[in-house]
Amino acid sequence: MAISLNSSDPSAAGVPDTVTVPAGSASAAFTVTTYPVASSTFATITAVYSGVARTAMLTITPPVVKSLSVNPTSVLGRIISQGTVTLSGPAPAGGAAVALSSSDPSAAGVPATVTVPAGSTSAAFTVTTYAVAGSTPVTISATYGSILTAALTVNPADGDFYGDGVKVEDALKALRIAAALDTPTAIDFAHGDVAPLVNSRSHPDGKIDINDVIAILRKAVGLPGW
Amino acid sequence: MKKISLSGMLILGLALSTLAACGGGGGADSVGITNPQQTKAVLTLSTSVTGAIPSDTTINGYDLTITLPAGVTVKSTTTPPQTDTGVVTSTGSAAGSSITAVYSPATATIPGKVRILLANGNGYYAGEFSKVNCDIAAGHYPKTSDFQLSTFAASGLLHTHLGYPDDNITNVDLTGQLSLTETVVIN
Repeated sequence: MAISLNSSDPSAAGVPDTVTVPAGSASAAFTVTTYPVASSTFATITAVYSGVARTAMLTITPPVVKSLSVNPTSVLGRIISQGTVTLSGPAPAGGAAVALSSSDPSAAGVPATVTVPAGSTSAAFTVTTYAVAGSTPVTISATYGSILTAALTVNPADGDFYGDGVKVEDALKALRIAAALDTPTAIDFAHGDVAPLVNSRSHPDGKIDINDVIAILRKAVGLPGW
Repeated sequence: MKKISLSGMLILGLALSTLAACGGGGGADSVGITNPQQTKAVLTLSTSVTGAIPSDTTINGYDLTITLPAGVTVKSTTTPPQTDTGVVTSTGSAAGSSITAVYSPATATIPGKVRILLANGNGYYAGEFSKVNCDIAAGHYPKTSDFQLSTFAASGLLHTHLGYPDDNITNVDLTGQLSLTETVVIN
């Protein structure tokens, strides 16, 4: 026998028109297909057979932030870290605007929101970091139905242009940049803008000059630095 | 010898009579006698302390520019135009320092320049720190006073002793406490 089915909100919860209870059986299962919603939505599912109706209530909940990550989790100031937010389910029509925030915008900035496109479950965003005097822990937060956080550490310039430890070659690289023989890249600045030093702490000033050369040179030969 | 106090990093084009004894001038003199063509000029750069430098402060870096007279060049075969090996050397207590020099050849309107950066992690004393070897083109007779010191900056480190090797260091600008001196010998 065929039982008629109906949903009070097919955009949130869809059901087949009928479900057939096999001969000799007393029940049959059917699938309720739900769709992403922006807010909690109630749907009434009604089954009608031989003039008798029975109902069941279904609550469709919107997705929430399921995970938040940044990669890398430890960066030099001025190096970008990539953030990813993932929802517990597909974003509703129009997308899901996930609110973002940083505990220390002077060290790491994030856009105010990142939108997970409709039907998708994740979106990426850029964490822009800035020069810092010392290692700076930052908490990135994402809010959409729930709040999740991710930890990021922004580090001061290390003087290591070539990624193999600070050596005299790094000081010479800084010297070439200071003399305008080399044009520094953003990554060069992230590594080489150390000075001025104040009580052995880096206070980068947006340029690589003779003071940066001196600081890197000292580190290269094992003298006290930053 | 000419000397500049560079607290304001002034361009100096001083006519320094004392330099005359070192050579300079050429071509026909006032009585029409032709002097021999000179082909080389060697600049010796030195600093002296003219202001109060805090104790526990080392001199660690210089950044200066020399403006060359017309017809005077330095050897530079690289691009960008770093001076060739041996053209600019670190000397005196700065010998062995990291040094680089950049040559900007003269144009029709701008004189040639040599910018020198010298850095040393340990530091060095005031005094002679560099020599610059220049070439003089035929037909040019520069005077020693034609070599100008255009810019000068001196960097140092103030050491706060916490017990080696844990010194705290702070960059300090020593430009106002040092005078730059340039001695030119033309031959």
